[in-house]
Amino acid sequence: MKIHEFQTKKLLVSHGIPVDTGVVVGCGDDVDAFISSLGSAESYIVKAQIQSGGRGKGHFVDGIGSGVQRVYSRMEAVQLARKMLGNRLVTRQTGPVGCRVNMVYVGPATRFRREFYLAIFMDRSAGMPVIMASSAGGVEIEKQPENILREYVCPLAGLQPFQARKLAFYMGFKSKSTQESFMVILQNLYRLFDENDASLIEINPLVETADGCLLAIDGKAVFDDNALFRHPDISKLRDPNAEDPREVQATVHGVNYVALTGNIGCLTNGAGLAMATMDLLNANGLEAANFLDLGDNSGAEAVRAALEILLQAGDLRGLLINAFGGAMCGDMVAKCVVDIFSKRRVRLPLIVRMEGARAAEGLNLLRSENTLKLFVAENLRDIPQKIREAMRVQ
Amino acid sequence: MSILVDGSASVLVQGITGRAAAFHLPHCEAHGTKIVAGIRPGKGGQRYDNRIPIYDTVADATRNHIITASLILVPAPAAADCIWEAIDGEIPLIVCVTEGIPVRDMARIRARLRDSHSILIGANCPGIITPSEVKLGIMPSYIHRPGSVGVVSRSGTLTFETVWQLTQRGIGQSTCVGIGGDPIHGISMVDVVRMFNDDSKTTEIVLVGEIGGEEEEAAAEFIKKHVNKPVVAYIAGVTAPADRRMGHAGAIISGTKSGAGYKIKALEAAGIAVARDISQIGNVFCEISNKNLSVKP
Repeated sequence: MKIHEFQTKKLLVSHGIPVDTGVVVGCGDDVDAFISSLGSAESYIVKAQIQSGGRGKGHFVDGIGSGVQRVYSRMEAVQLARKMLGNRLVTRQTGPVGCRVNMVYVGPATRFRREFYLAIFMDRSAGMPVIMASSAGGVEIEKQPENILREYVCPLAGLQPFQARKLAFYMGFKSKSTQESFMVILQNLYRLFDENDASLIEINPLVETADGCLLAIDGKAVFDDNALFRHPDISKLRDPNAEDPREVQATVHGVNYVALTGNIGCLTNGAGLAMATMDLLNANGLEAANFLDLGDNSGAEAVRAALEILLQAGDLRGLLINAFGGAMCGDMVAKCVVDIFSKRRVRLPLIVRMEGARAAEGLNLLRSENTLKLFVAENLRDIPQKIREAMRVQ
Repeated sequence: MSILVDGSASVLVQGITGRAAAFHLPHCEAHGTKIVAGIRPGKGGQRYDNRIPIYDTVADATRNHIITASLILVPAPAAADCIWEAIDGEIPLIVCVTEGIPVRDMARIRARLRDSHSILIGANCPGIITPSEVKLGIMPSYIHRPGSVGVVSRSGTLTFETVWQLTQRGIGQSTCVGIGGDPIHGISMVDVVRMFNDDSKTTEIVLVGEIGGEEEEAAAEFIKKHVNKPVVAYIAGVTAPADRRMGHAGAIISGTKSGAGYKIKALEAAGIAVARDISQIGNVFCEISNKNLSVKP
């Protein structure tokens, strides 16, 4: 689960990591009043709050510049914030449609001497958290990997003082007090990462001000979905507006759903089979409308929810069910399909391939239902052919 | 004719009174698995199906039985603790099917495993089967057939699919191992490939991977250097969008390296035949193994 920059900063502050001070305004807020509460400054930074990287290099759909801008008066800040709110920001991660901006951060621009990069993430290959630090922050850090020091942390023992020292020396701070405050920030950041089951926490840039203080100017955090059950406070930070409503609905039922652009709805059990099915369709010139993984232990409630979500897609030409059950029974799936199709009077062609637990029973049930436009694929290879037949009939 | 586990295994089931156990254990037993004890804290002294003794702790079970493998069938919030307890009990093989264990817990478990007497399969996996001998997992039994092909996979349903295509062509399996779809897990793809390579009864290897991580690349590297048995591979997620998690916690393309295209290139560069789509695995396998048979004396 991703959270917004301003939420990340709140977490940093609550863990003893100083950040720059600004305000966050939403669409319904009195932008004037909020921004007036800021002290006077030489210049202000206005930042769109969307959960995507590359905001500073992105652009708004109606051409008011990028998602991170500097202005030189409070009035300009108010005007810019108003323009950003409700507007759509396009970045390299959002696709051409962009992402709607519902919140904007405005704060006095911080003057600083140097910029650093500091992040902790869970390295899957090493199987442990790794701290990445660079004295060349602010810019596109991924383009200069040679400047990054990686320090792996034993997940059983946690961050050791020598590691914090090593990283602090590497950063090359001028004064001893800055070096010491860096080590405190590092210990606190690791505690924040570890205690809250984060998969990534990134400060970029961490800046050193003229008087030697360290401040986090931008922050990003991602949390492990599997651990949210033990972090109610973090779970509350989820912004449902930042996600596809169908994906939110799916998550509630333990179903993994990702919307795609094609016109064949796909219901599959197991993440691997769902991906492979999507690949199979694409390889045959057909396009999946979605990725949907029921999980193998999903019950009838999840199957029903999944069907409801799939049928929300507007321009479907057919619905494919590809199930290879280990724990999930074919007849249960079939029963759910029959229920939902008759309840909602769905006339969409249904292409079914079933194998595994109680697959024969499931197919028999579907075949006995003469209101369905049913196309049964004998095996995987037969699926594209059956979809084409179904589309022709339609 | 197997790796990791065979018909002689005496098995402990952690979570023996749960819903998952109720569904899967009869199938495991029907496949030859010898379940000697179960764990359910608070139900020690009772019996599963009026036969198999239940204990409160793994320590109690290992005091009374020789246990060579444990099958963990408990919900996610309790699963990491069960794995710790099994490692503490020095059980040689631990299979954890559970999906949804927090990554931090798995990182700690992996660190703990280094100094232990245990091998962990999973979590978030279908388990392991040596057909007609023993099944520790949730795979449908009927799709398997004893034989000499070793199957290793990161995905449950893709393992079923692969095995079924082989069985339908009359090709049996030595052992099938699902290593799991989580970003941090126990036994690695390379570990399993190494075991298949060392197993005299395994003649070919099928490797099923997906987007995310670098295990397929590591396996390709290992195969290039050390494996002389024919290998067929398939990678799921060629058309997956970047930065989206595709179901499995570990299935996410981040950067260029973890994409399917990169993995396929790495495998092909190691001389491995890669099936272009999932429906072709069986066919590609037949081509490769026949070719191989024709050059054998």
